[in-house]
Amino acid sequence: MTSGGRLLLDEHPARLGPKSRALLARLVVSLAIVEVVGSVLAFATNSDAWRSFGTSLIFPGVGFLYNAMPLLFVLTAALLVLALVLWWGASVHLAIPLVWLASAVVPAVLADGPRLWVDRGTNWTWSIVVAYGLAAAFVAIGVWRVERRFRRKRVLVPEINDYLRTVNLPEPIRSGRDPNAMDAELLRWCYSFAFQPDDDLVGLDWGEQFHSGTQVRYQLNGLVWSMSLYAANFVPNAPSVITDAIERVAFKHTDLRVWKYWRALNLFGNFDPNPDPICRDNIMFSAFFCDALNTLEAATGSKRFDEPGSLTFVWKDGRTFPYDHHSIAAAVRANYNRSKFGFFPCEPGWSFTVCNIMGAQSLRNHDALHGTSDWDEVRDSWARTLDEEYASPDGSYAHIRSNLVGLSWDTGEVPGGYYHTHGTHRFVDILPDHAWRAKALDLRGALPKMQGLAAMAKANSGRLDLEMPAELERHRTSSTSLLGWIKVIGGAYMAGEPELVEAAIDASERQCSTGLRWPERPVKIGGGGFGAYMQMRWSQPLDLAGLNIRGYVAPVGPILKSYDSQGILVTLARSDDGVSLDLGLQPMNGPLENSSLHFANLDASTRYSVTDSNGAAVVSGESDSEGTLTLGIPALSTAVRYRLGTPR
Amino acid sequence: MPAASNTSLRVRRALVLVVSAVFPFVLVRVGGHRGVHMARNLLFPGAGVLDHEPLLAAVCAVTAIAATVLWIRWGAGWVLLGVVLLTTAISGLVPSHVDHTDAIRNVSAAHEFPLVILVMGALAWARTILGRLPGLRALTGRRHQRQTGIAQIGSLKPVERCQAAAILSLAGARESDLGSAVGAADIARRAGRVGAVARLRFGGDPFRRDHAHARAAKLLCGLMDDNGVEQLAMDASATTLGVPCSEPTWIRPLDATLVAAALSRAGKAQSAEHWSAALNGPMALRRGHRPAWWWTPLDIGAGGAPTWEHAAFTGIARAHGWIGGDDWAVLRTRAMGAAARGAVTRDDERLVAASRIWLALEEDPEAARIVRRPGIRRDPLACALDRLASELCQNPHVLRGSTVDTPNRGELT
Repeated sequence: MTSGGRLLLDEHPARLGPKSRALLARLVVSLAIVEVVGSVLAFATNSDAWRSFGTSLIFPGVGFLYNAMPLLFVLTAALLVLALVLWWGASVHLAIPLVWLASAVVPAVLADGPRLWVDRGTNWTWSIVVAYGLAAAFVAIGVWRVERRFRRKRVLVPEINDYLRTVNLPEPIRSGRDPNAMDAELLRWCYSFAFQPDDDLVGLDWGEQFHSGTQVRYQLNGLVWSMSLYAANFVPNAPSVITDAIERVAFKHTDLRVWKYWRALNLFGNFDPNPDPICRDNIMFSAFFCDALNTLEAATGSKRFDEPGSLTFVWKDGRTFPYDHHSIAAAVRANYNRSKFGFFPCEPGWSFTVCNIMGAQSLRNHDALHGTSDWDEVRDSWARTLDEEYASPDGSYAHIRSNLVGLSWDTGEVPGGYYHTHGTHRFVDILPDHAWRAKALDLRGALPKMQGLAAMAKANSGRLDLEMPAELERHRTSSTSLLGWIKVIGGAYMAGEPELVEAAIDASERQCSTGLRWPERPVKIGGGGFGAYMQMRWSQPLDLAGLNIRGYVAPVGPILKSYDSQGILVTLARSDDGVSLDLGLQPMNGPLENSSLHFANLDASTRYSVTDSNGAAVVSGESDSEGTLTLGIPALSTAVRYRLGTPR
Repeated sequence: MPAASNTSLRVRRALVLVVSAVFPFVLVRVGGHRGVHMARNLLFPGAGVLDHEPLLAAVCAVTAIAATVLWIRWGAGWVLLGVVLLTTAISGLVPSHVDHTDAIRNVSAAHEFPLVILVMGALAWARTILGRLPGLRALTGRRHQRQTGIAQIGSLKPVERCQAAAILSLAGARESDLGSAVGAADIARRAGRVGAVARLRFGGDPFRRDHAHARAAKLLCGLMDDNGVEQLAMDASATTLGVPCSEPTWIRPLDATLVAAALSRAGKAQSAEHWSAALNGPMALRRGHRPAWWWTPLDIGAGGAPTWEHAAFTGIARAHGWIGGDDWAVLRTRAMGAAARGAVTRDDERLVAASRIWLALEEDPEAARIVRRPGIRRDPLACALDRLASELCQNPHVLRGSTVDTPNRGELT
C-alpha cells in the first residue's frame, strides 16, 4: 500500500501468506491423521502394546508413561529437542518423525517388559489424558504465541503509517573520508591475508561451518566487500595491487574447506550426495559469493571471473564443478525458477530472508554489470514472497521459514527473529520503496539516539568519550565491544551524521585496537565481525549498495600504475578533479629511500610536480612520450600525503 | 627386452605351478591326517596346528607374516620359504589331540573353523602379496612430521632419500650438494643388511648387486666410478626388464626409472631402451594401474603402484620420451583430488608434485590451475619432484638425450 509514493503498511494484514498457509494446512492435516490413528489405537484396542503405541502417537513419548516408564519419557523429550536442533541446524527433516515413531514403537515392544519401580505389567492409563493435554497445550501455546505477536504488531499499524506518511528521512552521507593510521593497518592486514599462498587461509576464525559464526565463507565474503569498498573509495587510481588482492580472496572461496560442509547438508536434507555447492539450494554460499563477485567487478572492473571455469570447485575425489561469475548467477536464477515457495533455501528446507535478499542482490547487480535481465524476471514473484510469506504487520520480516511446513520462529540468530531489512544493501538496489520504508522504521527508534550521540560528539570537539560494553559474538566463545561500535557507526550513517561517523570510528579505535598485525587482528573482534567493521569504516562516499548501483566506473586523472608493493602501502590514490592525484604512502616495513612510482594516464604535454601536505615541492618532472612519469621518493618513516598535480 | 631364456622361464613357471598344485595332494595322500594338517599349513602357516595348538599357530602365523614382509621389502625369499617349510613340518610333527573315534563328524567339525581361517588367511595373504597393501598405505599416507622441504632430505629413510637425491639431480641440482645425502652411512648399512639377510652376502661392496635406488642416486650424483657403472649396466642387462633390482628379486618401477635415466645419462642407453619397452609391455598401463613390482624369479608383475609413485615414475619416463601420455588420463582426477584435499598428507603432497611433472609435459589448463594451487614445502621427496617439474616447465625436453657430461644447473636450497 502506498501513499504519496511512500510504501505504507497493509492495514489488513494476513496472518500467513497463501503458500505458508497451504504448507501449514498440510502439516495440520498430517498431524490430525496421526492423532486420529493414535486415538483409535489407544481406545479401540485391548492390547497394552497397541495402546502404548497409540498414546505415543497422540504425543511423543507418552506411551512410556502409559507403560509406567517415566525416565524413558524424559529421554524422549530430550531426544525431541535434539531432533529439533538437527532439523533446523542440519536439515535432518526425518529427525523428529523418526524420534516420534521410535517413541511409539519402543514402548509397544516393551509393553510386557519389566518396570523400574513398579510391578511388571503396570500401566498408567491416566497418561492418555496427559497425552491429549500435552498435545493440546503444545498447539495452544504455539497458536497463542503466534497470534499474540501478530495482534501486538497489527495494533501498531495505524500509528506506524502516520509516521511513515510524515517522516522526512535524513539525506545520505555523500562526502568522502580520508584514511587514517588504523585504516592503513586494516588494509595492511587485508593484503597480508590476500597475498599468503593460495592454499592458506591463515587469519580466519575456524570452527563449525554450518551455523556457528565461524563460517569461513562469510569471513571471506566480508573481506571481498571491505576491500572492494576501499578500492572504490580510497585507491581507485591505484588499482593494480588491490585488484589482485581482492581477486585472490575471491578465489579462496573455491578452497574445499570453505564449501565442503554442503555435501553433508545436501545428503541429510535432500538425500542427494552431490557435493556441488552451487547448483542446488545453498543460497548462503552461491548468492553471497555471486554478490561478492559483483562488488569486486563494480569496484575494480575486473573480468577475471567472467571466464568460463575460472572458479572451479574440486571435490576431494577429484570431481570438478567448473563455474564462473555468469554461471553462478545463472544457478541462483535457476533455483528461483524451481522454487514453488518463491524463496529458495540455505540449508535444505529452510529459506532465510537475509540470504534471499542476497540472492536478489546478486541477480540485480549481475544484470547491471552484464546487461542480463534475471532480476527483472524474478522480481515480482520474489517481492510477492517477501510481502506475503515473510512480512509481519509492523513492516518487519521473519528471519526464516520452513519450505516444508511453513513454520517460522525465533532461532536466536537475530533479536526477536524479525528485522525491517537485512543483507549488505538493505533493499536499496532491489526494492527501493521497501528500502525507504525499512530505513524509516529503523530510524524511528534510532534517530533520536544517534542525534543525541552526535550532539555529544559535537560538544566535545568531535570526540566521543564513551566505551561500549562487550557483547557476545555470534559464535558465543568471545565478546567484543566493537559490535556496539559497528551499530553506532551504521546508525550514524543512516542518520546522516558524518561527524558522528568519524567520532564513533575514532572511539572504536581507542577502545578496541590491539596493536597487532596479521595473522592477529589490529582490532579486538572475531573473524565474523571483522569484515563488518571494515565495511562500516570504508563506506564513504559509496557504501556497498551505492557501489553496486553505480557499477564500475574507470578512474579519471593520473593512475598509479605500478610500484614496489612489498615496500610501499598505498593508502590513498584518488583524483577528485581528474587532473591531480592525492596520494597517501606509507612504508610497509621500515623507512624507504628512492622508491619509484610509475604513473599512467598523464597528459604528455604537461609538467607535473609532487608536493607534500605543506605544499612544498618534493620533485617535479616531465612525462615521457608514453604518458608515464617516474619519480624518486625520499625516505619515509610514517604515512605521508602527497599530491601529484600541475605546478602553478 | 633382453634375450632372456624364455624356455628356462617357462620351465621355472611350470615347475612352480606343478609343485604348488601337486605337493599338497602328495602330502595328504602320503601323510594321512598329518598330511592334511601339513597341506593346510602350506596355504596359511599356522593353520595346520590351529585346532589343537592355537598359541603355536599364532606364533607360526606371525612369523610367516614377518617373513613375508621381509621377502617383499628385502627380497629375502629363502626366509619365507624356510618358515613355510618349518611350520609345515611342525604341523606334521606336532600331534593332534582331536578324538578320531567319530572320525567323519569330528574331522569335519574339527576342520570347520580352521577352514574359515584358511580361507580368510588365504584371502588376506593373497591380498597382501598381490594387492596394494591398503592398510599399510593408510599408514604411510599419514600426516607430515613437520619436515621442511629439501633441506631436510637427510630425514628421509635411505630408499626415499636416494630417490629424492636422484630426482633432484635430474632437476639439475649440484652434485656436491647431494653427495652428503647419498653418501650417508645408513644407506650403505641398509644395503649391507639386505644383502646379508636376503642373499647371505657378507663383506665387500654392499652395492655390488641390486639396490637400484642407491646406485641410481650415486651415479647421478657423480659418486660412482667407471667400474661401478659397468657393473650396474651388467646387472641391468641380467633381468628381463633391463633394469637392476631394487631389492633381490624385486624390481620397483620408480627405482627402475631412475636407474634407467642414470644409465642413459652415463651413455648406457640399452637399459633405457629395455625399460621403455617394459613400460609399454609387461609393465604397461592396464585398467588404470601399472604394476607395483616385478618379481624376477618368475618374471611376473602385479599389484597396483601407489598413485603418487605411478605419477612419479611415469612422469619421469614421459619426460624422457619412453612412454606416451595415456597415464595422465587416469592420474588427473586423482591428482586434482589430492590438490583439493590440500596436499596435507605425505602421499597427497607427492602426488601433487609428481602430477606437476605431467603438467609440464601435457596441455591441461584446467588441471594445471587446480594442481598448481597447493604449496609443496614439507616432504623432501615431494619438493624434489616439484623441483623437477619446475625445470621441465622451463624446458620440457631437458631430460631427453641428456648425458652425464651435461653441466648441472641450479643450486640445492
